[in-house]
Amino acid sequence: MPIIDAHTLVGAWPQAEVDLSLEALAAGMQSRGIGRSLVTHASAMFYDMVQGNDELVRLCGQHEPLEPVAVLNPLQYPACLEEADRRRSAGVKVFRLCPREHGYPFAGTVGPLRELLRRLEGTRLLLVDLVGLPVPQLGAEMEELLPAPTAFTVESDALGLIFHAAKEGPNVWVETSRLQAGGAIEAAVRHLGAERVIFGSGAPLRSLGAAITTLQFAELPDADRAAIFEGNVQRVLA
Amino acid sequence: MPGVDILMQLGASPWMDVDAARVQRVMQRARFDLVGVASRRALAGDIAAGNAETKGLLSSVPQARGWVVVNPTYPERSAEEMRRHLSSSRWLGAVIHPGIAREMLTSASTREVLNAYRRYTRPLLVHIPNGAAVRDLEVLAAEFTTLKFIAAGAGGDDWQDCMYAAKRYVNIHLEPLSGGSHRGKLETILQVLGPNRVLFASNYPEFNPGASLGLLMEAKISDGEKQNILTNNAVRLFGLTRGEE
Repeated sequence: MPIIDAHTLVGAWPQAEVDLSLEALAAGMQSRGIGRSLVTHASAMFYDMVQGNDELVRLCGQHEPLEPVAVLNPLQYPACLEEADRRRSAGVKVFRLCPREHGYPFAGTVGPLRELLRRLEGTRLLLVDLVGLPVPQLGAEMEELLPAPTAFTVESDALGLIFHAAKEGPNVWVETSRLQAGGAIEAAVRHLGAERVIFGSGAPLRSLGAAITTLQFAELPDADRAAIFEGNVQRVLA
Repeated sequence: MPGVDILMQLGASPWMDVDAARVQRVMQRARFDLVGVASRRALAGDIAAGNAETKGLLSSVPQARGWVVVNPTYPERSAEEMRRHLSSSRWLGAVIHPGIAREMLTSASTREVLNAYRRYTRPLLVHIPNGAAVRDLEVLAAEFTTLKFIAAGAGGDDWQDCMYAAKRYVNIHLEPLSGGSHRGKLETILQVLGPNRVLFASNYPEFNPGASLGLLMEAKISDGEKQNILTNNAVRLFGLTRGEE
């Protein structure tokens, strides 16, 4: 079964000495049967949104199995709107928001975030990482602001926030890289449906093997596992 | 690869309840020959009732061994729990979770519990989630030189601090598998410590066993070193006989 990994990284990670080179990512993909990776550049998260995204698009242009995920920072307003327009017109289908790294709550009270989300109307997939926030925030009102399927990365113990927000509409999804507690992936499938859960690893920062084995170990029907590993992302990117 | 999972947790967790049947099912799926079990009820404070639940599980799951949960908030009750259970070979030793007890590892009452524990000459499992806990563990390892400490989680994101603490103090063993899926962690730890003081735990249901197993299987170390981590080191540390593996 080819796998699509919705959460991978390249670049230099400022918080740990890890090889996040393209070669490390490609080697992991090849050894574990990953057919396609959605990849974010660490420079776009930690240094400069535009330069990091430029470098990412260049790398992805040279490597067919990589799908670029452009980082947008709503605190860089209005530059974030221009960056969103530029990347979309260049064919970027997936965007990532980083509330922890950029220092804002993922809440409707953040004006630039509201406007940025409106600007992203029609994009294919949005990725939002809520891990590490002092108090992960995801108000139910956010669902109506989401312009596209939005896969949240959360620790297992914050899944309840996702389930509550997901009651309001279909755009709240979850990504598996931090759902490592026993039963967490199964709970996500129970509450959201398998069609709103996607596989992510955090590789090469985190172990790709651990992420794959965690999903393989979850007590799920094979059809659900296949949808999470591949089908759901393939559907939204098609 | 059959193995010894030195820590699972019994009881209610956010996404599932773990009872004897579930422990056995996970053991079967993961091919664990033996598991160490601690009670989540005991970790949450009710040490007598929780440890009694673990004892009940031991009677129905022959391949399970118990951890006596002790809590420095209750030093006298902790000593009583040790006396109650540690005369039996079905218990691997005692476990402390300082994060839940909100009692520093270096507190006077923790030292009181450790003084009482020394006579049992068994390893002490301590949850070490971060660098601050690593520094406290190092203080205790220097003070209680005859006690063998197992750092469960091995410092989490601060695993390198824990690794160097274990290099300085030979009475610290590491259980890094349940402390996060950091790529390259096992390889580095084995380079620094060698393969004999690293143990395997899933810490299920805090973690899906696939996370620990996947991290171990993916590590670029030899099959012999993987077997040491998964089985041989625990057999040696706990004095398990062939029939108990």
